[in-house]
Amino acid sequence: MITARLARLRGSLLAEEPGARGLERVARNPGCQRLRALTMIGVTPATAMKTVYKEPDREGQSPFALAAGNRFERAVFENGAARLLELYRSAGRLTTAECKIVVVPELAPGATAATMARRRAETERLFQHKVRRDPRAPNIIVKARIPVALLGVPHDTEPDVLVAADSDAFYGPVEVKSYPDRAGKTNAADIRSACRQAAVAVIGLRHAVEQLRLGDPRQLVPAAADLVLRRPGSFRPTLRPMTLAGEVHSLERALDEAPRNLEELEALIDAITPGASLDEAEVLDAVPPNYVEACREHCALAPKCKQAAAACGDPVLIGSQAREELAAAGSLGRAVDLLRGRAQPRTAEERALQARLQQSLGEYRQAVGHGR
Amino acid sequence: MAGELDLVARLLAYEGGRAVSIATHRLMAIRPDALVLCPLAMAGEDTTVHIVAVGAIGRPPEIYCVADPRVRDEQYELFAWLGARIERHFETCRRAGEYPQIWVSSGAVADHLDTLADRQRYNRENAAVKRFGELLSYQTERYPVDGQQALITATGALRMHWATGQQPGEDEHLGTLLAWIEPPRNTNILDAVALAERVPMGVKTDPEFDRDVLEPRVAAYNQARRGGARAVELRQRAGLIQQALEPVVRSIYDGTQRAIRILSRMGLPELPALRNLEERERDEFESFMASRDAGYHLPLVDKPRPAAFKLTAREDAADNFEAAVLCGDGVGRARARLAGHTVYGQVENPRRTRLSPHRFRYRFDLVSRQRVLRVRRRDELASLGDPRLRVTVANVHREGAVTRISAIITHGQQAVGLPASGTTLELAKTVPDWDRLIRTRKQLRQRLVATPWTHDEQGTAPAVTRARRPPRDPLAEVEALR
Amino acid sequence: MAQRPDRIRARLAASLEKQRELLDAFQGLLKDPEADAAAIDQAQRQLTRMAAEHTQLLTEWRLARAHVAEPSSPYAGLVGQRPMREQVLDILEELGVPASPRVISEIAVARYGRPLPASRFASLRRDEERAFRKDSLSRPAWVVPAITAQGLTAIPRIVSSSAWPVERRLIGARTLRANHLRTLLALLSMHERSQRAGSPRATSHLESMILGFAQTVPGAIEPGARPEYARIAEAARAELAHIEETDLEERRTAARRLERLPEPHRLWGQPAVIQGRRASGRRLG
Repeated sequence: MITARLARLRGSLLAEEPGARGLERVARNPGCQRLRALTMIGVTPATAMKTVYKEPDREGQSPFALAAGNRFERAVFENGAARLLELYRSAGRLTTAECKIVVVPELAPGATAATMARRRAETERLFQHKVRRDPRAPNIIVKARIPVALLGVPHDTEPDVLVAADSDAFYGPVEVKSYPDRAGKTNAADIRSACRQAAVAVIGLRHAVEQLRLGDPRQLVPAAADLVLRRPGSFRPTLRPMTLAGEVHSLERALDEAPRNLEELEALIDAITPGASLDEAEVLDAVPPNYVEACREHCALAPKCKQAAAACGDPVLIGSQAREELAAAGSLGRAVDLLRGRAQPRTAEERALQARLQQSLGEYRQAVGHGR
Repeated sequence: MAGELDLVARLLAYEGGRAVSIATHRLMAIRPDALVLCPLAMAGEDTTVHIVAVGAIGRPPEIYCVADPRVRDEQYELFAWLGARIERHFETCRRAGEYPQIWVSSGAVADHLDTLADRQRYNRENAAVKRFGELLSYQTERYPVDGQQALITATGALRMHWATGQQPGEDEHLGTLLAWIEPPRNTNILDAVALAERVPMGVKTDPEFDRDVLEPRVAAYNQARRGGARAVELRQRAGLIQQALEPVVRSIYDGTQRAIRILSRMGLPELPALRNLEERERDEFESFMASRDAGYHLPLVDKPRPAAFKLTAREDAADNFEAAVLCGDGVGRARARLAGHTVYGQVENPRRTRLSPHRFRYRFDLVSRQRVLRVRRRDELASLGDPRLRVTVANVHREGAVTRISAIITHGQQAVGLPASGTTLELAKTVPDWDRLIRTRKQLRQRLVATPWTHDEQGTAPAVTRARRPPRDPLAEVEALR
Repeated sequence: MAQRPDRIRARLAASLEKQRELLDAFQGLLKDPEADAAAIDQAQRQLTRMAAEHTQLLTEWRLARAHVAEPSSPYAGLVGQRPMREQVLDILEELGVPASPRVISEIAVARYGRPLPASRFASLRRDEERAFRKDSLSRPAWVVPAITAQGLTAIPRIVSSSAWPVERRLIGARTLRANHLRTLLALLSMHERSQRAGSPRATSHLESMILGFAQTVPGAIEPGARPEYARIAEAARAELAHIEETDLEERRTAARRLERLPEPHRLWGQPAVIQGRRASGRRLG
């Protein structure tokens, strides 16, 4: 049973739903086995930091930001998602008659496993209606629950909204975010994050279409989604259709990296210590990370991975570009030794690197006019 | 993308456990009458200021705090107060024929001010707040322009002069940047940076601080306010909130002041082009204020024609600033040399050829040993030693480690003359041209008399007319459009 | 709400005791050469948190002592008020359609001058069901959840009255939208009555609610112009005309199914059943 195997790997850690945010985090850093391993077993980096490493999680959101986000969501979804409906009508995407709304959590309130199963079942039923062109098929589905098998492990994702006009063949995902919409000045990192989460929803919908044998997944669910953002200084939503070909493709590729499935993960952990679990700091330490500059933006484990990078003098400490440029040297210490002429180059690449570094040092010294 | 010189500088910083200088000249003005402005927003509320510290360089701050910036009237009071402060500064600068300069801690603050300005300059409820938004728009509209002197971030200014041994993204935290530049004694630099990182230096407070300290106080204030508490109680509760926030904003203010002190104390000569950049800033400010006086509206989104002018101005500013640093700063020049953006070598075979009784051609070869060179036939280059000397590249020939560039002098034959054999010469594609923008704007005015069909509201494509025969020299036809 | 000085003093004393314990622990960590840096950091953060709480409590105590903050009980102002269930049923009658606790609470501000705490609706629902199961005839009407037309299960977040015809308590595919429009029309009627009765506070509050509801109705509000209530009503009715027949038909069909169920299920919804296994032929979980 998958559940039992995951529980063994988690040890004393409690299972959490990674959600779209957790899955897109994996896509941001596909080479990080540590992040993949935690996501597969259903543990967030923040929990690992707090519980395994006993260090404070600095990733948490401010209560003010949470409250603002909740207020915005409420404003969008209250009164039968009136504001959301108005948004789609103004954009010409839905007509007056296309006002069928289903809020899945209202059909199955609560947080138990049975409730979640009901939500999945209700979502399936609604999808069947849609594909059969049943006139009862809703135009807006809020918080549908879609089971997907990602990284070889079943997960549930809950896209904020799914939308379809009566004439549309199937639903498209909508990500609702309280980021301020400033048109061309909208924070690029916010848009990237929202688009990646929407890409998770696209993949989730395609999996659902495939599992339920509803049709051709790529045809029914194109790589596109809507972003609903917030007008600055207010709670009025804005609508931005986005194409996501790049994000979907990169997510699919990222999810294809090792460990691809539970077997590979178990083999990886067993190679560290047979029968070990990821609630032990030494075991988690031994799962290779891939610390990059962007980790600080999204992963609570970044300080830990940075410490590990510092311990081995990983060139990424001075930037991702340095990791590429100094690849021949392999570490900052070695690069400095080559620069200072304290080490003999061992390969042609090191020789070339040394020549470049020393030339640059010469130019630098000449420019600043002192003997550094 | 930073080049090899910057990579080596970071390596040196990492090795030494402290930042290293990467400029021989100061690359921005530090106006003695500049304002240091440090606002703190409430998390999740993108157009708020919870507390602000503002003051002159070297002076303690004036502080204004509101209990809850989500309460509109209270927030407007803060904006009106800050607007009045900024207005006084603007008036003083205008009377002196100068421009207002504002320093903030980091790019996050500049972005926040931009959001504030964009929102408040259309405020229909409060004229003072609207004015605040309009004035702030001067700084925020200038901010994306390379070489502007109106809105300076401490992190941006320090990074132009120092290289640290950490990632470029980490340099955006003023605290860590200062730790690298002035590392505390007897502390490992990475430990010092880890500690510094925990202190907020941008526009938001720490989420943990919000959870444990600020939110309970704000909630208690709001509960009292809604419950109709007396003014004295509300003042005391508001005082508690200020008591929590003030140390945070003072720390950011002090950090920004410290950055300015560090830059001043470096004792670097000013970049020669700084006087041109400041002259431009004065013109821009005067033009901006004249528009405000005349009642012109500040658009949120430009129409095509003004957008074309603004884009051209930004491109011109980017080219000029890059050229100014390349020409005027030693490290800038070294960087360009390494990247092959300048040609550096020895003159060989200078010669004068008679073309007609009164016309001569002056040519020479420049022999370079640069590993990377970005030069092609027909490139137009100017001498960094004397920009009056301009050449066109007739030929480029590489043999092993040596590149021989044949150049024909196009300007400066008399003023500068043919360089002697053996002279060291450095040539670059771009040198600052402070009059180019005037010429370009004139050209744009002529070309944009009618809005192009691609951007007019009708958007009707013109009928296609085919040329009778293709041009003999397509490149020349394109070049003629310059 | 403000508390009595002696209670705050007790909390201050407890806070001080806790800080003393934390300081002792912190001191212990600092003396221990093997102490984990993370543990020291954690202890420091706890101390900072306690210090902030302490400062807050001190201020509360000073305010309470100076009688500046008037102590109030959680039930102050509710003495003499009708029970919450009665108020909810009255408001539902005015609305005529099921509504969310938030909407009911806002209308209560206009009607009674104070909101009904939205957090108390969950316990109200549970109390109602318990009382009904004890003696279903003890009251003429119950506060009940709305019921989904498809599965005939309860929607706890939407409240209705058991006194209504069955179809009115049902939520079909278009009902959320239709009820939004009907709520708007009801608010307009309340507003008219409030104006006639000369209640400026209630009128102003209702105006604000009407604007909120009307903003999402096409043609109801002209941008930049003052709202015209006749125009709003006309726009709401026009949109309702598009969907109310289809909505009513779906609810009536569902009502016929609901009426075949035992009485408790007719009022509180039938238990949820997972129908996935047979419907899709696929194993779940």
